[in-house]
Amino acid sequence: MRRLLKKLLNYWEKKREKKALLKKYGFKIVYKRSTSIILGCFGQTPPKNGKVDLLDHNGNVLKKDIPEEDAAKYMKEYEDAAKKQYSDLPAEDATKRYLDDIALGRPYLDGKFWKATNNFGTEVKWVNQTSSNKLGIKISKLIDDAISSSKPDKAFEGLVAKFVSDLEKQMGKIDNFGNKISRNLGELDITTKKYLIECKKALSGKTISNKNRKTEFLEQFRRYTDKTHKNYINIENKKVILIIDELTDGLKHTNPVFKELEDMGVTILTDYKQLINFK
Amino acid sequence: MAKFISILSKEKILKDKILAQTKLFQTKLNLQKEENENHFSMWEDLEYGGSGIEICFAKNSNDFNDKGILETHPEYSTIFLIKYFSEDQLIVPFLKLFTQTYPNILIFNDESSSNFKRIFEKSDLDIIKGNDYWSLLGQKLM
Repeated sequence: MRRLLKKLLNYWEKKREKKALLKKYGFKIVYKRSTSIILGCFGQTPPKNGKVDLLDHNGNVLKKDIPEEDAAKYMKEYEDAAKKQYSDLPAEDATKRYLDDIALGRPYLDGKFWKATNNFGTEVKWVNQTSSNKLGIKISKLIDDAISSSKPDKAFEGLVAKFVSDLEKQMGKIDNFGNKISRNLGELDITTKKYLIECKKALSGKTISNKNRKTEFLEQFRRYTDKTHKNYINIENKKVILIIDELTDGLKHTNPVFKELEDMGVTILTDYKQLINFK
Repeated sequence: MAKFISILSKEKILKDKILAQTKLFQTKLNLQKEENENHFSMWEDLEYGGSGIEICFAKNSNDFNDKGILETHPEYSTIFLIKYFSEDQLIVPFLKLFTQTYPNILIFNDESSSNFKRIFEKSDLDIIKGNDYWSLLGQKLM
């Protein structure tokens, strides 16, 4: 008897919580009806398994086919994630903005990941490094470790990142450093609010003279600059800068490949200290 | 930023055979994959570090023209590229498996600075312990 009473109280509590969230943030719940064709007519029958769809205030589907009792849990998760992402906004505005981000494919926080959908419809996901990475290490520590790395390419990335962090007021705070994008779509060497910076320790003339290598090299930049590309990963359309420390094997600044990159909208620097001119 | 190494062979190796080896590796390590006409991409989940490599074939065989190695090894031709990112942990195990079947391939890396070794053979792979790509590609010249 006591157990039944407890169950009922729990049920009412969940129902009240769900109602409050529905009212507060304008979530909608759509009860599922399974549709079938019976002798040429459409027939609707009540759901057998109590599944619902959870919609945002504009009618965009957030969760499909979830058990009704889980709706409140998901709404609470959205509310908490919104508070984390938009800590400067009142809870109601933060949740609405967060739900708009999801609907419009803009980056939104989902646990320890940022998620977004590009114009092509591809889901792009990367680790949220802004507070700390999966090991609890802050970006500043990752940069320090990179600077002292014995790997020249990593050390160069670290050196550039340190320089960018010293220019925080004009370039914005670093929000990604050596961060991989899911599904092997790419790696963000350094990004700030405004810029996506690619670092290359050395670029060889032999690479550029090999048609296939050159194609693959340029393909990376299409993923940053071509908004219609299937694997476009520059979701916030940041300005793209390529820094090359060393041109080897006879590669000259006048090589047409640099013109191709510039035509894509990429700014090329051969000395990272030139970043001082970026506002 | 993504980097590339070239895999070269004296004998012709058909794309299907390379793909069969690649898929064997992908299945063995339980990696996720995506395949299209000229690429086979495989990766571990971000939750587990996100290492990933991509096998890149040329659309036309004459698109491969590694001048950097043909000068010293004219009998070789490039059969595919491997695209990888920083801190990769898959290249070395992949090449170790691949060279079990094709022990005579050459690995060519022309992306490093001039004082680093650029051409590697199976014997270079055999002495490597661990999976860090840098232990293979970061060997300084004496």
